[in-house]
Amino acid sequence: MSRTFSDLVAEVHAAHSASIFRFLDRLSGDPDLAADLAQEAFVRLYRRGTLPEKPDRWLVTVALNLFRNERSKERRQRGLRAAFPDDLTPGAGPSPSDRAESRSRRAEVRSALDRLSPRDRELLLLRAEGYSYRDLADMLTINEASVGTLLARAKRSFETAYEEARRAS
Amino acid sequence: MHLDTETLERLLHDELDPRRQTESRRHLDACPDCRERLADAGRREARIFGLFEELDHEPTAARLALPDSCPEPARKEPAWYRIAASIALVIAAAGLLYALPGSPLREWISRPGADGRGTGDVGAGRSEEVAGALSGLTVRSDGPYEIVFLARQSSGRIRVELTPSRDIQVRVAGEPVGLESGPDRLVVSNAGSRASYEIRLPADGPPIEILLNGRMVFRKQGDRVETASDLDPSGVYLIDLSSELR
Repeated sequence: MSRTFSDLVAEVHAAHSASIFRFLDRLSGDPDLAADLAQEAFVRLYRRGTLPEKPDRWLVTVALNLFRNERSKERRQRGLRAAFPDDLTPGAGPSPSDRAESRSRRAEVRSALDRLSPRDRELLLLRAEGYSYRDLADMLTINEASVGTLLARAKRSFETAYEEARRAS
Repeated sequence: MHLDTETLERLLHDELDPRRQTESRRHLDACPDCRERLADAGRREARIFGLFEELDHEPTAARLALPDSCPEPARKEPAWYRIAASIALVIAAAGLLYALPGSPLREWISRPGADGRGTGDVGAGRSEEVAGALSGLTVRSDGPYEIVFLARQSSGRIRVELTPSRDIQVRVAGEPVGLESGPDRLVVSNAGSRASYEIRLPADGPPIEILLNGRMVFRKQGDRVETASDLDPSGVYLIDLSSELR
């Protein structure tokens, strides 16, 4: 029996939704926004009516564009997140001191990422999801021949920003 | 001379072509400095990517769920009257164009396949297929373009011909179907139809793909044509709409 388009989308979803959510979550710092953007990307895939050649790359590109459109709203929300960091839920789990240390490290990583240029941030987070140099070049519209150099530069920038964030905290 | 940053990163990520990989590995064998730089790059990247995990929230089922009420694919999205209006518009435009003195459309319909490239000696089967063509659409695209058939059919074929024209032409023979064109795609709402189609694509120009039920069945990029369909002696690709084509 041949598969319907909905079946194909469900397969793509099963294979890639976790990675796309993680990327958007790290990029935005807002899991609810990340879930919304990921869902919207899949809705657009449905509407498209056909599967692109590389569905995961297509979905990430769509989600990235959605995120960029949301950026101004995101900037407004960033202040709120800093004032009310998550992980405030009480209950079982790490001890209060562990949670405090984890929150502190999370805030430092967040701060370091936020200090990077959008391209460096997206490049690092997408590479962390395992995308190839060709995929990165296509998704971020950069020259494939210099992806390695750009990655090295982005990592150095992150290290510098992270050390600054640690000192500041 | 030491390995440059690009090469080191590509080594780290297995992104070098085999020849450069061999050369670089040979250099590494002889160069402790570069070996250390590569190991250091790997350690630092692992640390950075490990730090990213600090940002992760639980990917709960609710967060990863497909939308509860996914909209239907594009073929059902437009209201029926939009499809009907599109068909009526296309037919009216075609009729007007057909009625014009010296109309190229009239010539085209009466002599299918007889344009620019000199492939006028089309086979009899082809003439039968396109006889009584009812509607069609011509678009021009400067970028990649897709022609999307939303469903397989119980019968019918697509005949694809490459021509010197810059236009993408789609003609429908048999039953009317919904044609909806956008800047980068033309969607043929052909579910339940048994129509046949004649498609003419620019031999030069941007890449063009034909998709059938979500699967690519024809791709033209530059001089290269990629398809599992048959090529008849007159240079026409025949895509069977009822087969399970890749």
